[in-house]
Amino acid sequence: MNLESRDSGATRVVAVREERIDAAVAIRFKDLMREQSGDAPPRIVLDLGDVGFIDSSGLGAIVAAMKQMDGRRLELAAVTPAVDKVFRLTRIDRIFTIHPSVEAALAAPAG
Amino acid sequence: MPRPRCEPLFALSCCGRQSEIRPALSKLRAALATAAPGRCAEALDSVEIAVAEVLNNIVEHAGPSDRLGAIRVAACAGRRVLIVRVSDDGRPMPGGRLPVRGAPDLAVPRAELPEGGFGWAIVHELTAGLGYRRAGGRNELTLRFACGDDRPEGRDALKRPD
Repeated sequence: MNLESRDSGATRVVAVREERIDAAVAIRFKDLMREQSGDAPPRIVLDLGDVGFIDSSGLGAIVAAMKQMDGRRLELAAVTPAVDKVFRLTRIDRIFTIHPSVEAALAAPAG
Repeated sequence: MPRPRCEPLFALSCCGRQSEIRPALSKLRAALATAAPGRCAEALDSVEIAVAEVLNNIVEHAGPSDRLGAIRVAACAGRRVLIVRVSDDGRPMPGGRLPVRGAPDLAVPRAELPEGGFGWAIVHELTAGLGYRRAGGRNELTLRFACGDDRPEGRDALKRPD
């Protein structure tokens, strides 16, 4: 599990360099996200452009990551079709702000 | 009622370990991408996601196992349907039946949002039919996925001779 981050103004973009967020890596993902959020600006955008597959464990790990943000916002970007399908089925898409791309997320006004 | 004809496309046996799940899904998906009728191509994401949930559930709840054949996955294609059967030799489902369909409640404060409990809701949503039985000391789940639609290529595919 590999996460890459860069800060852009008041936003940190965290890119998941992994094809799958599944039961095999969910706990590791959650731990890495906690490290990412430690010194982060008030808004984190999770770039899911490389992630082609998520299961319920991965979904739970993203929710867990959001809950451990300590007052920061966690938003999602560049969701691929199979991941979007899981978000919609579980209605998690209503919990998160989801941007079509990282660029769109950075252009969006801070909410 | 006679069971409709279902052409076998795939069969796999593996141990009941988390590390077996990714390879099993990869093989299932590759086999279906090659062998499933073209009209089923759009169902492959649903198949992979639902079968992943079922396999995760087996490893977590039916009990991990190093026996080869602890888990078996088979797939076949019928008319406008893909059927995947997953069986395991672990503990039976609680109460001898499938968990209920409901998804976790998200209308709660952020700090109380559920981090689990989505698996069976996902499986129910993605399948056109879902069956469970306990037979011969194994749990047998049957997942049915609708495939094919009313688009012209779907109709053409159905016209092809067997």
